[in-house]
Amino acid sequence: MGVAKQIIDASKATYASIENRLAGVFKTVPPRKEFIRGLSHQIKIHPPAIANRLTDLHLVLILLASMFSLMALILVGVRAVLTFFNGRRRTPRQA
Amino acid sequence: MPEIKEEEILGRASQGDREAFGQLYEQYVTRIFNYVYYRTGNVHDAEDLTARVFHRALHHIQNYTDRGLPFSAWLYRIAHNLVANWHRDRSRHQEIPLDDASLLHYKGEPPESALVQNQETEALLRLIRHLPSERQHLLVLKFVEHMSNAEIGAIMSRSEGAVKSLYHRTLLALRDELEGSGLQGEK
Repeated sequence: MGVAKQIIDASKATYASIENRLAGVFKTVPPRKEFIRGLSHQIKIHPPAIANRLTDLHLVLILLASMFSLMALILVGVRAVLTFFNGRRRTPRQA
Repeated sequence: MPEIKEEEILGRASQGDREAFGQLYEQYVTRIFNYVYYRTGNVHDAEDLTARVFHRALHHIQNYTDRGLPFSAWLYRIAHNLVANWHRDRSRHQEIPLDDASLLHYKGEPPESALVQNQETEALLRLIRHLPSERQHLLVLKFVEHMSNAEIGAIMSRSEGAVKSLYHRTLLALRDELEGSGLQGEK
């Protein structure tokens, strides 16, 4: 029994010693205040919050503007392609 | 100011209330930062990952369901996954420079005195950082967050007994590492 108790005591002492050292190593580190404030700002105000503030009218306007932009882009593209092919057809005749 | 229960704040946050989420953020940001900081070993990555934890939490808060676990368990899981991804990406690209340990003394202390005073601390932290991820996770929750085995078990999805056993194995592994590195002497 005496030996067993000694072994248990020794292992307890080992654990306690390592635990003490770990407790000394891990200390609470405060994050920078600017970091906390910056992230807080992002979390409270950023994209989804902006989306929430948009009214239905805003959304409709954005959607319409996007559609017109896309249509204009397609028209410009088609016109560029047509101009390109027309130019190629004319060039051999002129030559 | 009336004290509002976390459950109520959580309920509001999960319905898209940014102010409520902001309250949760204020409550947990330092803890999550500390967790990430000790897992990564440098302030810049700790800040970056802490920000990602809260952005991800904000994105998925509406899917949060109360299963009897504290909200912190959910946040720590997000942090744990992000840190694991960070380690994986980092190991693909480069080795962790040992000099990073010197950044651990970020607290406004003069670098020279911090360097002398904390040489042993740095060495011990380096040893800890070489432990398997799960054991590092356990040590940080135990010593930084001062959590009980039951609370750690909830976060790590293990029983209290399994956490206790893992903790003892971790201490023994550390003892062996300390003996091997010549850092055995008690302070």
